[in-house]
Amino acid sequence: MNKNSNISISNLIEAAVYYGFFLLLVALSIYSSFFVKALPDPNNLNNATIQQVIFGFAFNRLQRIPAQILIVSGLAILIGMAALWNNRRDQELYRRFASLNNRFFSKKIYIIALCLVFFTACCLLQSNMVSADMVIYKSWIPRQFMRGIMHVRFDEMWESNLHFNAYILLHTFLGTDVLASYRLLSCLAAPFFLYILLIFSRRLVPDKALSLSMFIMSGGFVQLFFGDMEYYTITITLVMAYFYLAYAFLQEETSFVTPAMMLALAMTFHMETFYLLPTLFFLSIVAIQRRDGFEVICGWFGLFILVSLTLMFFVNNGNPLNNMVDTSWGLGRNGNVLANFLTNTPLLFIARLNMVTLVFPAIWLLVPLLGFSRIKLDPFNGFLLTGACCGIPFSLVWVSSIGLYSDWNLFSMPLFPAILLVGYNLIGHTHFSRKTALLYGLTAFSSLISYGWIVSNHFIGR
Amino acid sequence: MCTLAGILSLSAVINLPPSESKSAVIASFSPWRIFTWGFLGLGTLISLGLFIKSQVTPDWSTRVETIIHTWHKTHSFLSSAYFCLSLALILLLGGLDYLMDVQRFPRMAYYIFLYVRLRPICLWLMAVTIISLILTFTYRWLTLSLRDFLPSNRASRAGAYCLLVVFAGTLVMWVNLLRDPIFFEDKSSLWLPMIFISIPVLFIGLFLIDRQGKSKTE
Repeated sequence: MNKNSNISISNLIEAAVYYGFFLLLVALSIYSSFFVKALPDPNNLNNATIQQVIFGFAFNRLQRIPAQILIVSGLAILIGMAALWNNRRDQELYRRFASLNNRFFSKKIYIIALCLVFFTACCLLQSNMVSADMVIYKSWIPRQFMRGIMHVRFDEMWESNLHFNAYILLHTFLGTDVLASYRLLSCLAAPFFLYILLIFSRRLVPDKALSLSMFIMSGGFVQLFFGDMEYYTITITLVMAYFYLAYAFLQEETSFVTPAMMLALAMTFHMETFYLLPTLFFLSIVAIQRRDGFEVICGWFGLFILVSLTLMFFVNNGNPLNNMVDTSWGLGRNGNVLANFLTNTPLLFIARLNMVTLVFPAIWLLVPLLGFSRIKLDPFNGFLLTGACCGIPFSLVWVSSIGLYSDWNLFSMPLFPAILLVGYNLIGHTHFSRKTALLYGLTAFSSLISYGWIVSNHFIGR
Repeated sequence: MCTLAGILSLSAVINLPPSESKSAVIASFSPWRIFTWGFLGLGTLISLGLFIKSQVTPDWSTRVETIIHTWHKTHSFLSSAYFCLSLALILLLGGLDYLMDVQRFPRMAYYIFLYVRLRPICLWLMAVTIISLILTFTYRWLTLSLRDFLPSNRASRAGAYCLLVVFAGTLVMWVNLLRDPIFFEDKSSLWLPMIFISIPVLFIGLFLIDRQGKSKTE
């Protein structure tokens, strides 16, 4: 009896913490959206008040969405949560959703259809936000094309070169400009990302795969696929594929070589994926424990060779190694590496916390999940934890040279292991009363913020 | 060893000239310098305290070692994650030390004042992490056998040969590139066809090795 009552009390406390977080998120969003004056330029904190930096959150800067729409959407979410508060209705909805989930995943055509719908949505709501980098590329890339110079950046080798080649192709045959070709390539990555996410979610939590996918897709990082004009969309799709293959390796369905080569491929697309190297160390340890040391050696050799050959290919095509390394932001542009993280200020750090929340509002649930020991000690969580321990500090200390909010996409990828860690463990391994209502509320409210941002960026400058 | 590394780093920081007068807060030292001293001093004191305690009461050190050993045994995935993160920290600190070197990157001269303060901390952290990593190995959750690192059948042997050939070619390219970068950029050379041949050979090799892994699991 005592044990049962202890369990129910701890269950209640846990539920209260999760709900407390949700209510805090809603309260902060309302306050920031309607009671704090937005900064004219979020990247310029020189004349900002502390209040403007702390509450530069949610709809604070997304003034293009009418307040009425926000209020009605918020009320609809609350009504939905209230309906799910009833235990009987909660169970009924769970049963129906599980049946829908199983029917959806029974045929590949449904998955493909959903991916195509998402692709269409991405094309229709393309972003018009031009980052500081893109302002330079807009004139730089046509100039390089006219002079017959291959465009490639050390930090994002294939990603930059593929965008450049797509521009040449589209410009030659359709007269497309740089911005439009960049947008198109970002949108094209969307269905692939969603497809991998869906089949991966199915593997992780078979009965709740749709819930997990929706929960993850509620983050602001999804803006990457809505025609984001930068060099991250293809890489994040490859990173997703790497996670999938890593999971398959941990389930003993593939060899170590496969995830290692996928990571190598991701590295040739964007060097930022270097932060995932410790996760490959983790897989190496698991492989060595399984007495597959030979595969580990071959995987690491393969990774080194693929990255080297890619570099050689670009050097051989008229891009001197010294030039590439000296202009690399990641390597500190020939001696400025300390500027990349030691020029932080307290205000910038606060703004950074806002940016992390913008990328995935529910990411802060990682703290209570760790506190209540809800991170199941399985190999895949060990893998994700390793990735999160590298990605989160990177997002918290790296100083962007073009302004924090202009470089939000740079911080999306390192946060991805933490995003998956929260989603997988909250949906798959956490049990407390009224969980469905909370999950629904969190997913819907995060989506409201994230997709509000997407819509806002679509109408910007129009 | 950690204490020794801490004392060496601390002495390196103490020997630096005083901070600029405009940023000094206590005894002509800036807050950043005081933080550096505090960080190194605390770390050194903790390791010194642990050393003295383990010498005075050997039972205590045995008990602590048992606790750590049990943790590594019972939480094998967390233990692996800890190992990977330590390795990542060493690589990060090593990389930073390389990129901060003013001899290699002259523009670092602009940050030399930060470099001289940061380097002792980086080196001390690196020393502590390497020592703890060596200790982790002694818990033997990673049993290494040479046989595990060798190909086990004909297909994987063929795969390994492919990989070795491509690896040798890549090394030759690296040596040439570092020796004479301009020669490597000559488009009329044979380097580009070599790269194009290397890629399929690499993937054939990896495919053969991957099949070996699959046949094992099946």
